Amino acid sequence: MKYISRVLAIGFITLYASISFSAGFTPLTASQWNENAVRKVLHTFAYGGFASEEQIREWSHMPAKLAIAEILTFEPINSKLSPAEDASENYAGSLKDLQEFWGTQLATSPVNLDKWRQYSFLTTQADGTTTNLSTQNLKNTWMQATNTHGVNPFLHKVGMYLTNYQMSIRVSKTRAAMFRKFYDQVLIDLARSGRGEINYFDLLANGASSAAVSRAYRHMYNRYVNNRFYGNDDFAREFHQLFFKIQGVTETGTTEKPGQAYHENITIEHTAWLLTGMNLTRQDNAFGSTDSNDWLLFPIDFYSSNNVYNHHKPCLEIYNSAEQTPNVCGATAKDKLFSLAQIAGYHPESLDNMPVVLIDHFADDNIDDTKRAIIRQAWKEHEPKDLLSFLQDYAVSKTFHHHGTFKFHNAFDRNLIVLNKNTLSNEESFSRKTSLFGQMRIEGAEIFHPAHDVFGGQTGLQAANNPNIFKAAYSRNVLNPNVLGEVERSYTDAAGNIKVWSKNWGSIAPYKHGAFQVKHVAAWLWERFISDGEINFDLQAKAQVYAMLARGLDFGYLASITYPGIYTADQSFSSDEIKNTPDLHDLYHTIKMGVIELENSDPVIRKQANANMGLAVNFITATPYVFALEGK
Amino acid sequence: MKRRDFIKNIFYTGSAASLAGTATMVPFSNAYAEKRYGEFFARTLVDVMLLGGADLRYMLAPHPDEVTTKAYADIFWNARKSLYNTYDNVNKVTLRYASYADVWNGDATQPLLTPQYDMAEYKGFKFGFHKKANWLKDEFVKGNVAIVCNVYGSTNRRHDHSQLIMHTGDRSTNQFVYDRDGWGGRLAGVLGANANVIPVSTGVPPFANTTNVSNRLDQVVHVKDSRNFALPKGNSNVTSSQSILGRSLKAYYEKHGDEIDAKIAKGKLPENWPYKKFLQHERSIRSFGDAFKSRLNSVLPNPLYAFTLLSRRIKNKSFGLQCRNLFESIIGSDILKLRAAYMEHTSWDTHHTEKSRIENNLSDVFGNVGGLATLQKELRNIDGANESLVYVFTSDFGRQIAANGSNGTDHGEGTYMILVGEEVNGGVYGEMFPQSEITLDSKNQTRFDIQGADIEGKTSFEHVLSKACDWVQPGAGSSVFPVMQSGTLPPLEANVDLATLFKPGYQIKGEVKIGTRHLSRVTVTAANQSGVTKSTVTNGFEHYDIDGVSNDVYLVTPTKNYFTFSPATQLVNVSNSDVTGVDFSAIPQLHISSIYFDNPYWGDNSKRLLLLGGYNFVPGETQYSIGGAAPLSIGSESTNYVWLFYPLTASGELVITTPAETYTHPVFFESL
Repeated sequence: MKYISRVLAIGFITLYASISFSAGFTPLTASQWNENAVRKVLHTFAYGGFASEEQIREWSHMPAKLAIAEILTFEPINSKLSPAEDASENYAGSLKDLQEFWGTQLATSPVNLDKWRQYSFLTTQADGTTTNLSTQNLKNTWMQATNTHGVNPFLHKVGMYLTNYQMSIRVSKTRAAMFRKFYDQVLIDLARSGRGEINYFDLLANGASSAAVSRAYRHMYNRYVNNRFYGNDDFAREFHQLFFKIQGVTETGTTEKPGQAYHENITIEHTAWLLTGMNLTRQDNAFGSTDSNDWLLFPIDFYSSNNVYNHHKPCLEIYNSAEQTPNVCGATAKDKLFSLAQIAGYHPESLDNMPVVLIDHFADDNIDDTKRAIIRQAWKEHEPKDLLSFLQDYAVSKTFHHHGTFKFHNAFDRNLIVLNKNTLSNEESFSRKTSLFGQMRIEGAEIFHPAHDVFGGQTGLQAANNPNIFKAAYSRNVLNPNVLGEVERSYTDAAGNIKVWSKNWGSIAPYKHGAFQVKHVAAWLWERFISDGEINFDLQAKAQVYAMLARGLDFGYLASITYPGIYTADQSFSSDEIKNTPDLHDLYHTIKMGVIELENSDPVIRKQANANMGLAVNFITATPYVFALEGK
Repeated sequence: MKRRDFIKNIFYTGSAASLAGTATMVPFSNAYAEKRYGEFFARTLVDVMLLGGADLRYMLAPHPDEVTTKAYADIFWNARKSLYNTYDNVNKVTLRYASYADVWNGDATQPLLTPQYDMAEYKGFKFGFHKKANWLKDEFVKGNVAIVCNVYGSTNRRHDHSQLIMHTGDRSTNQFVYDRDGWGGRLAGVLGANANVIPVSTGVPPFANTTNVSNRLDQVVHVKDSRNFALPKGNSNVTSSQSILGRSLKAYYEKHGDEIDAKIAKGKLPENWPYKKFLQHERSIRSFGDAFKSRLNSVLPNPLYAFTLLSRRIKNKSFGLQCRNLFESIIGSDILKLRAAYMEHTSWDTHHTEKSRIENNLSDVFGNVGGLATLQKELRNIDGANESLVYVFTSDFGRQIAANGSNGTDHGEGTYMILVGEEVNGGVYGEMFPQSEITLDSKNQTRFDIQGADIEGKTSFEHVLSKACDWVQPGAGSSVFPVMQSGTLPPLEANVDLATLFKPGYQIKGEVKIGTRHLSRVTVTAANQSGVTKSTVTNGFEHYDIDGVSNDVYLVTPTKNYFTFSPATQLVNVSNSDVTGVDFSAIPQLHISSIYFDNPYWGDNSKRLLLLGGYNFVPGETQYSIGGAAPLSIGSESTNYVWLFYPLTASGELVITTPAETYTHPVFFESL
């Protein structure tokens, strides 16, 4: 299999060109839809997911279309992708609900007694009287949501994409309550779109008409009075460019305003006029906060007298150079935005660009002309324009599962995939003393604070091209191995009981022929975190992982103490050397055939075995293969 | 802090460390003594990107009394006055300047409405620099700032595409393709293997990418944090988890990288194999990391306090860190092979409340307590550094010329492109405030009246950037910007000649020392056969530069009264590059310039005081005689004077003998 895949890799461009695709995505065959394919979907779309090994196997045996309908859903709960372990699933519908559950001291909460404040919506400052809405706690809540069994990680990955990339705004510009509302509305709209109640453009229109966007871009102050516009054209431009991926390069324009000038002076300008009457109401001490920055209310009351007065009421000409007549109508800015969204969504540039940007973000940094044409065709023909089914179709297509597909992980994706594959239970997740928030921020990935503001967060390509991100990730694994390798900790649960959590890799690692054999566990561990079908799990990597699992040491040090005077601890060995040097080969073979004591009755030995697993996890997740994912 | 104090400070700190048994400190001026010129401190370009589309029309404003722009100023003010609205936080009201004159002079009735601009002048043309950009203004006055007007890069108004255009230097670049070369990377490619682009920003911009499709970062060293550069290796406990992981990963990457290279070479893996980047990162950080870390530890174990202070006062902390990173990269410039650098400052997209936001930015970047001013000041301690740098300021685009309804400005096209450096030929290139903007059109309106009007781009950015590249290395510009080789050059504003953007010619550089220290006030002259001479005067702290030297052969001669030099002259051939290392040793010549008598000395008839004034005495090692007789005593002596006591009857030749020479005063003592 590996030989074949290598041959395919050599001629991948040629091979690709020889496959003829029908319009739209071509689904995988039954034999192509296997466990590795399922794992790739989970890594790509669901931060790895929390499905059990049995579930993954079951999906791999199902027809791909049926399986993907179970794997990727927009409902808050997906019990197969993320089986529940506590009452968190009852609050999984929104960040608001999760904060109300985790950020209070309910006895049923899985949050440790000393950590509930990290999720509280309202925080009290050191002076004891000042209270404000905590943006940090909102971020903490999202981070926790993606690492909680019982909450749908795919839903939040898409929620993150929409609020931090396509409709990107920073929480610092809107404050916590408003941003949370923005995010939660996206979750609601995703679920509705998944059920066919609205289409994707309605979702974008809802975002565009939100209080959060109005405040972030400041068109809340735009006015059209006495036939004159007062305001800025910031969001008027970005509605088209960022929300709908329309640059205006295809505008035919008019004689008076050709091409780009039409886009600038008619489309954008008139959109600015449309974005009037979107002011927000202020209420003192709203949400219980003493911070006046928190006092703007949502949603926008489009029918307030102020907003009615300031809104440009007549219809507007937008994208209508052919007829040059007003084509976007509505009583309020919101009505007009919904009307405009349906036009914008079918604009030729949007039809071309939107799906490519989507796939580029989620799954492929190597979109060539052929793939671009397929993706565009698939979106054009996809009716209704619904994000869920489009992504589902793509996820089980040959376009995705292909050698020519690869995705560089941004720091969000990589860290969350690794975290999720390393987290075996909610007890482990909630008892953790430190979160990954700080590490991800070092790597340029801060939730709800996109690196490029309205232009979105860090992309995979940016992360890949940044040696410092690589260094930060590598250094974390070496210098703080406990982040991933911790095997035991005590904590106080919500009811005040002191408990001890212990890592138990033995509960899920492969147990074959009556033992946890190093070679099987190593392969499983590699596939769990890397999901490349072990293509890149070569002799060098195996030697290190086997040494860690079997002896809790690196291969070089193990060689130096096994053959003192011949090898030094910091010596490196090539694949050929390991394979062809007799004593190295013997050592390699010995540790490969060893056993990991994950089921030993002695807790000390069991703990060490789990610690060895942690070493291996740290090693594996610092290799180059954790930073990207190939399609096949 | 003066350079000498700074070095002394480093040295004393280093001595303490030595006493403690740690690594020997090397004052870093000495660390570079042999390599000050040539490979590094070679000409280096720094691209400072102002992200968001900077409204530099806010920084540069027409002067209310400048005759040629008086009408312009009136219309300018009318269209932009809301930008200067100032919010009174105490009284919760918005204050407005009543007139444009008040913007310049302040409003005496409103303390918050302070004067906003300082006047600058260029060839009689008056204009204003915003007060927050006072470092830039000072540099302009020194002749180190070129303001190129009406420059355009992007012709759309989209941030992402426009930034990509500015990074790549290619207006035709596809808006979605980021995996391509940038003009910084192309420049490094032209300079060769001993040149790297050093982004000191958080991310690596497309600017730095090279033309190598399989490794865009092959000439990039990312110094996001100069103090946190190397990869970890574990700790002293050989079986700790850190050590196990440190060893295993180092060993793995070392051999794995080689095996992957071999597979790619044999075609078993594609050139664009996605994981290759990470192997390259590991290699790059390993190869530079330890050496750079070691250099910093030996020269500057802790960041300069100046940068700590900067980080506290600057609004954009990231920019402050970048300035420190650049400073420390220059310390390690030979290791990093620094020839181009990239910095960025954010938040220039001032759609609303422009005043408060842009003024913070101007202060951060162009202010005299901002990042670049601090950087420049500290770089004075590194001989040759400042003059080897040119800063080029780029941005997505300019902004519309009239204020919008949110006290801000919206996206436009044309802008000012600014270059700063000691070798920049300062001045204003192009029409700073184009009269065309206030010319009435057929509808009786000016550009300021037209919704969406911006600064018209008249000079395409390739002209400016290619000249900057040519300064780095002659001829590089047209390689980096191939369009400059084409038969049809991109637009250039009429009557603008960018050929003079940099001070003409090359430099002859060297040192004049007496022993180990630099000698001041030595006139060093370079003369060619045609009689053209250029000269400079040494300052006693550092090397000398003779600027503006054309290709030719020159006789370089140092002169200073009472000194001779070895060699007396040097023949120097200037051919398409600076010539460095034209050094001289100074030999002091004893000279008597004054003789004072006190005769007899305080009424003491046994002796007279002879006070000799002059140059180059050697205290403690000089012998004096009058008529062959030594003095009765020597009262006091220095390099410039000596007190001699002689009998009243002393007569004859006055002869002074130092270790180096014998001086005989031309006039007999009796005649003095």
